[in-house]
Amino acid sequence: MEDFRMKRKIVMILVSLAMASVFAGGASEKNVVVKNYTFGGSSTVAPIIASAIPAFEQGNPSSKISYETLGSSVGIKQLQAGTLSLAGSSRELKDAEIAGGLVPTTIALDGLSVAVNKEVGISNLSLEQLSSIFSGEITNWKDVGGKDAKIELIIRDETSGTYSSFKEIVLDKFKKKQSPVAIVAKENGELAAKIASTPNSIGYVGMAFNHIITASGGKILSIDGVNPSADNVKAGTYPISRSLYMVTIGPLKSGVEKDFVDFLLSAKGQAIVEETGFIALK
Amino acid sequence: MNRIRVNATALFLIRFLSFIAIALLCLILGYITYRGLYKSEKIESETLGGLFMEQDYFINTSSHEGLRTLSYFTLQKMALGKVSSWRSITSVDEPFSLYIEPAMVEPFARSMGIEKELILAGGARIGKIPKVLVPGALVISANPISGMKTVQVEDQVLVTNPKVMELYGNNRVTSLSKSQLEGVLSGDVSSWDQVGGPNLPTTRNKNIGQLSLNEGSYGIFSAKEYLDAKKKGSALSLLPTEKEERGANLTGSYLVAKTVESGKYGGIGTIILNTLVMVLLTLLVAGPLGISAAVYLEEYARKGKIKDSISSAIDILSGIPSIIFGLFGLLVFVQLCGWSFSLISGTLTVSLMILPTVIRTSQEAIKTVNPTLKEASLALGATKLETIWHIVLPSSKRGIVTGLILAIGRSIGETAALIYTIGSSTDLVHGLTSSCRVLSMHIYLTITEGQSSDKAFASALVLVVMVLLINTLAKILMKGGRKS
Amino acid sequence: MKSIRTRQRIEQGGRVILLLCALLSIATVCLITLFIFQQGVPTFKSVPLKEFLFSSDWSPSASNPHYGILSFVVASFWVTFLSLLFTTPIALSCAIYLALFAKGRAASLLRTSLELLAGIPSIIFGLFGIAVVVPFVRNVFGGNGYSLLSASIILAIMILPTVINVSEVSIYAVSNELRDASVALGATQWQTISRVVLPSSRSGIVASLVLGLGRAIGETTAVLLVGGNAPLFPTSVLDMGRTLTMNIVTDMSYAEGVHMSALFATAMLLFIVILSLNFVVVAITKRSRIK
Repeated sequence: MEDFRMKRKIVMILVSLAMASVFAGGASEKNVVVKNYTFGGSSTVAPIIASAIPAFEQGNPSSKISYETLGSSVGIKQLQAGTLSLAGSSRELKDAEIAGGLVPTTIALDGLSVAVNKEVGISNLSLEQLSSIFSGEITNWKDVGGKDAKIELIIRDETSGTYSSFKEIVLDKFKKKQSPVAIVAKENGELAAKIASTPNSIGYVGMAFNHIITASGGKILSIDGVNPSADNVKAGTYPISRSLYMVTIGPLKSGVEKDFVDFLLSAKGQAIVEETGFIALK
Repeated sequence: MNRIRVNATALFLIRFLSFIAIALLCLILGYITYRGLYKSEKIESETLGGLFMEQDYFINTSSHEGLRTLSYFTLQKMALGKVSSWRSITSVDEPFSLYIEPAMVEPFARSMGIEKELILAGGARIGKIPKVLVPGALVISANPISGMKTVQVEDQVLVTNPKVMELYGNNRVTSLSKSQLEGVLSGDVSSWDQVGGPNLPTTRNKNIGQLSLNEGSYGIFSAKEYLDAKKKGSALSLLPTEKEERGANLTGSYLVAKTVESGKYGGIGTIILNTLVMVLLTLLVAGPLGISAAVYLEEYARKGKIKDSISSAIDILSGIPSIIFGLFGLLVFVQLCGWSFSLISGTLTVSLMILPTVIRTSQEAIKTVNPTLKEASLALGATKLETIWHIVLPSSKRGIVTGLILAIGRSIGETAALIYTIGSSTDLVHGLTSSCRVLSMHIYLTITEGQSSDKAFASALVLVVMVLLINTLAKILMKGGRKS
Repeated sequence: MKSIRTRQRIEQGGRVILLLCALLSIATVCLITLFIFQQGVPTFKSVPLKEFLFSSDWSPSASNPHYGILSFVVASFWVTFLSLLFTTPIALSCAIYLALFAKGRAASLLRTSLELLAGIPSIIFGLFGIAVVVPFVRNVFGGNGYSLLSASIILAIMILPTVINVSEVSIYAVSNELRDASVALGATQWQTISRVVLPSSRSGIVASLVLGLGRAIGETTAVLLVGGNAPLFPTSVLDMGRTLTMNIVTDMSYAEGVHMSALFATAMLLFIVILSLNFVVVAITKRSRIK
């Protein structure tokens, strides 16, 4: 009994010391007055911001920024609630949000790549074939030059920005509707994982996720003979793309938020955009 | 006779089902361990694997987790000064610098097909190699340098006539898998349409000049030959092949390194510490609260409306989806209390979530205490509280600690409740109100932000080991009191 | 030794603190209920209750949006029911095994694996499901593998630790005297288990199943990855489906306005279901105790 009590006391002392040092260590680092800023929002924009923050903080040592991955809508809501001072969004603002005074600033373009499972066997589709496949009119791969197998569709959820962009550009253009018989993935990463593991599947992901598709053995298609690449999107020859935004309450005035967005739009920031797999504006 | 048969079958079934459970659990844990320790990625490589350049110099590098080969094209970029960091090559966050021994500059420039002046202009340091080198240095020398690893250069490429790689209908051959390449080289694949290309016969040609003339022809040449031919104007295409990169996934340095750029580079050292802090804090909050509530319910509450409604409240709490807790935490702790995305918002949210588990298991454990012991204690003059502290709690230690272990497990693995409350900053937590990323969140974000599932599994393996260590620690602490 | 006065005062003070801790759980439930209802009730200003509950048309982004959650209710029901069905025999067997044959390497291995399992994040279960369970279902039953069945299998594995641990504690607690008495009367081990041990530990077992049910209903990430997440009305367990929680999680990051209230209304429904299940369980255990 005694022995155990001693053991427990020792452990508790050690633990409290450890926790105290963790907290104290952080406090003692603050020689300069550092102001904390919290941004947040879309998970698609997150990789850009994650790479941009260290670069920005190098030139602005008195600011410490963190970006919370909450999703576009939750981010916008928290912006309005005051918890965030800048929100990232991969979808367009709704009318009600614009009427409420929110202002989006485009910081990058994102192309949508069409990916297929490695067993499918084709390398290209025309835009019209793509829309027929996703509307459920074409159901077998042999109808578009692949092997004889049923096509499995993998799409994003109905309210995602990626889904809306794909719908507008691919489906609405040919006046078709998305077939409801499809596997729904909630995030880009999940969609990529599903394409890799579902035979004969086809889906679409943001271009920045191409490397995950190829690493797991999937294949990125060219559309109408054009590969999804930054240059092709900028040139307008690759048809499927969308904009990514940073949202503020009211137009950007002075302050760290404005500096940060300016940084994103600067040459260095746009280089970071390209490095992370997205497309710079211009 | 029947009874015995029933007995035998029943016991057999019990053993059988338990073993199925063990098998399932080992399967899952084994899968996580495997994915966590080994990664195998398929990459499209311009150079053919396993065929190396004849060099009259040595390339040395301080060991970068298994870097043994470089592609010719990458080395060229390095020579021209276009590579500033090892990030894109090995994911290790180190700046790149190139050192060349003066005597090796000529041979190196020649083999790279680059003018000496361009190499100098690219920032390469030429001169005697310093004894102590900064990490991330690549050294070109006449002899291998002790203490550094030598790297070989893959420089063989598969070159084809441009017609081979054109688009036909919806088909185009963009790369060849290992088996496809073997088929082409051995002649089994006689026509390109067998590997997704056009209907042209595969003809091997040893003369690179001839390739542009003969449709369907291909050949294996050194990268230098290919680039020289292209410079002269020949129309040629390079057909990448699939390489499978197998390697260690979770490594010691990944474990302790700082997280850089949200996990894209670097390791998970700070995240592990953050997780430990969060678990401790959650235990400190949910433990006493839950055990106290259980004590009240079992020792004090009379059977009746209050006890029943508290029990029902607990059961209801346990059924609420974790995301609702997350949204609740967002509204109350993050917004209303003004703590923003922080350690304390997350901890309080998770504590609320695991409270039912702690209470229920503690309740069941307290119920098992022999009433005779309690009565004896009271008869000796102890107050009820003292009885509880000295008799009841120690006796029910085993069940309570089991409940806490379960709760720890749940809180370590929780994501939905934390996404909206705890924040995702990868720095070491420095106060209750600082944004603090924990391991479960990191795993979730790594997958959804699409960096790589390999990193996610490496982190998951670390998480499982952490749970094992914490549980073992808890059991050791508990053992001391078992004697009563 | 403290004086009797002090000890009594500590006693009273302690009792109050303990009561407060217990009441905290009620307070939390009330707060969360208020929260969910406050966010969810406005839905019904624009969506008629009948349509919400009985229509399977969920189309929040259409020009004329509809918010019918019937498909999700059916999917949730099947997934939860099946997962409990799969778990109960295995969990009970393991609990009995652990409680009765507590020593031994197999038992320790089982115990450790269960504890580790409880700590694995649900997203990893999801990835495991995609890699192992979905192909299994695909090969054995056909289809593309993403189905309510796959979701139930993964859920069953996930709630195992909870159910086993809580039932084990109460099975273990059945006093040795009772067991010895039963054996002395000539009962076989199984008869002892089924006629003496299990009935005495009924409350613990039921508690464990309720905890497991709660976890199953509330689980999101893992089922999200293997259930297919298609908002279709499931006609068989091999169909892809979307449970109520999957719906909340999927749309939450992008929803706003009526859509968001509809998601909270879904949470309200879940809440009411759990509440009713609770009453049912309490009623059943009360009745059997009277017997």
